[in-house]
Amino acid sequence: MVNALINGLFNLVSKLAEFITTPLIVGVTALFPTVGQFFSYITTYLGYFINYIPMILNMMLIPRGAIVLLFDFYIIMYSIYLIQIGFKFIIKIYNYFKF
Amino acid sequence: MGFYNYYRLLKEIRYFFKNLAYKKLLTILIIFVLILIILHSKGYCATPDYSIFPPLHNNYDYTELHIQPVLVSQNYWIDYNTMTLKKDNNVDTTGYYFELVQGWRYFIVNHTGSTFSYCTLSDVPSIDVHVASANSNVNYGQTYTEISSEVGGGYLFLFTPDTSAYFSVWAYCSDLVAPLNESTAEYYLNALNVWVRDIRTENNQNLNDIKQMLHDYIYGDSSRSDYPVTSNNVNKIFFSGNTQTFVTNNDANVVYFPIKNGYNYKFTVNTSSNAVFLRYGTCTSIPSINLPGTLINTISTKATDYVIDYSSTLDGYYFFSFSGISGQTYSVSCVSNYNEAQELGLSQTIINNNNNNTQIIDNTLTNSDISVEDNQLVTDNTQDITQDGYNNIFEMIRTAFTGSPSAITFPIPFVNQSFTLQPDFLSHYLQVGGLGFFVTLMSAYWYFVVSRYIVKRIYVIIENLKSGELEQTTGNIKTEVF
Repeated sequence: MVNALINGLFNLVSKLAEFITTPLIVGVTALFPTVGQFFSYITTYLGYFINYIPMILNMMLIPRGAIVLLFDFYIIMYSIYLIQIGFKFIIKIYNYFKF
Repeated sequence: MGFYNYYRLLKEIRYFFKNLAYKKLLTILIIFVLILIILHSKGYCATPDYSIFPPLHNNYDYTELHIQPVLVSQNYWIDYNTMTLKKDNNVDTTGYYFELVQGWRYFIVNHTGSTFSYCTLSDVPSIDVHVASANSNVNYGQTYTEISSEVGGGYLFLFTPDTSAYFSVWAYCSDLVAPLNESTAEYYLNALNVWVRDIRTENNQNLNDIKQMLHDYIYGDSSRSDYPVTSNNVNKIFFSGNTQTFVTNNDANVVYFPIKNGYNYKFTVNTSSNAVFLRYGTCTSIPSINLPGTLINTISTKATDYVIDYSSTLDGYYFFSFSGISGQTYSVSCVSNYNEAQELGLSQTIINNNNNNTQIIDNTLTNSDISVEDNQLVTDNTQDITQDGYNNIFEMIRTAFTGSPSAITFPIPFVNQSFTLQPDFLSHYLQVGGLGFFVTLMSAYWYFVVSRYIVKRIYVIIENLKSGELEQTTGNIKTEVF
C-alpha cells in the first residue's frame, strides 16, 4: 500500500516535471536552433584560456591530486544541492496539488 | 548544471582564492617562476630540446614508445660529428661497451665497410679477451639488427675488426616494460638529435625510409604472413589438447597461447640458437600491437631446452616473445590438461539440468503466484540542446584542471623564432638544481590549502544546516545573480 502510494507520488511528480519542462525545452529548441552553435562559440572562447591552465598549474607546482580532490568536493557538494532542490520541488508540487 | 549553479561555482572559486593561505609565499613563488621564464627565454638555462623527442612523432604514432640512443659506458664516447665510437687511447681493449637496460630493444645500424660481431654480457669483463666468443654478426649492408636486453644491468659487447668501425645504436622500449630514466634523458636526447642528423646528412639516407623501417619493425609489417600471430593459429595450437608446435623463423616474434583458469600448462621451448632471448608472461587479451603483457621471466642464454610448468590463474593468454638471429628456428610446445570434449560434456550436462529446472518451474507456476507492480518511472525523451553545451563546458574545465599538460610554444615577434615551454620545466630545473625537496614541499602545501578549504566549506555548510538556512542565499535569484 505504502509502496504503491510512494510510486504513484513519484510517477505524478515525474509526469508533472515532464509536463512543465517539455514545452520550455521544445520552445528553446524551436526558437533558438543555433543554441548548440552558441555553446560551441563559448567552448572555443574558453579554449584560448584553458590551454594555459595546465601550464600555470605546473608552474605553481600544484599537484593534480589536489585539483582532483577539489573537483570531487565540488561534484559531491553540488550533487547534494541538486538533490535538495529536487526534493523541494517535489514537495512544492505535492503541496500545490494536495487539495 | 544550469546557469545559477555556474554562478554558485564562480562564487566558490572566488571564495577559495579570497581565503588562500600564505599569499606571500605564493607571491614569492610566482616571482620565482617569472624569473625562470625570463632566463629561459634569454637562453641562460641550458635545457634539452624536448621538441625532438620523439623525432618521428609527426608521421607515426609513437606515443607508447620511448626512443633513445645508447649511453656509452666508461672509456668510450660518441663522436657527435661522425657518430662513431671513440675509445680512450690509454685503455687497451678490443671492444665497445654499452649499457643495456632490461626490457629495452636495441637496433644496431652498421655503417662500416666490414662486419663486426657482438654478444651480451652480464657485466663488463676485467680482461677483454675473455669475451672473444662473440656469437652474432652484423654485416655491412644489413640495415639493422635487433637485440633484446633481458638482463638488467647487462652490457652489450661489440667487436670491431678495425678502427674505422662506424655504426649507430638505437634503442626503444614500451611503457609496459621500462620507463625512461629521467636523470639521463638529457644525454639521450642530445645524442638522439645528432643521430638523426647523422642519418639525414652524412649517410644521405632518406629519413622517411628510416621512419617507415622503424615503424614497420616496431608495429609489424603486414607483408609478413606470420606477424602477428592470428587467432586461427592460436586455436589450432591450443584446442587439440595435446602437443602442437609453432615454428617461427624470424628474429622477433610473439606467440600467444590461450589459457583457462584452473588448468595446468607445460611449455617446452626448443631453440637451435645460442643467442635466443625468450620472454614469457601473461596477458588478458592479445594486444593490437605486438607488445606483450605482464612479464613473468626471461631466458637469455641457450643451455638446454626449457620446460616451463604453469598453473593458470586467469582466462587469457600466455605470450612468448623471441628475439634472436634471422634464420634460426625456435619452437614452443604446449601440453595442457584441458580436455575439450570433457568440458563440452560438462557444459551440456549443466544446460540439460537448467532446462529441466526451467520446465519444472513452468509447470508449477500459476498466475496467482505472480504480482506485477506498475512502478516503472516515466522517461523523458525530450532533447535538451542546452544540456550538452553545459556538460561540455564543465568537462572542458575539469579536463583542463586535471588532465595532462602539453608543451606551449610562444612565438617571438619580428624575429621569426619561438621558444617552447615544457610542462614540467620548473620541476625539471628544481630537480637538476638539487631543489627537488621544494617540489615535495609545495605539493604538501597545496594539499594542505585544498584540504583546509574543503574543511572550511564543510564547516560553513554544517553551520548553515544548524541555522536552517541551507542555501545561504537571499532567496531572490535576481539579487544573487546581479
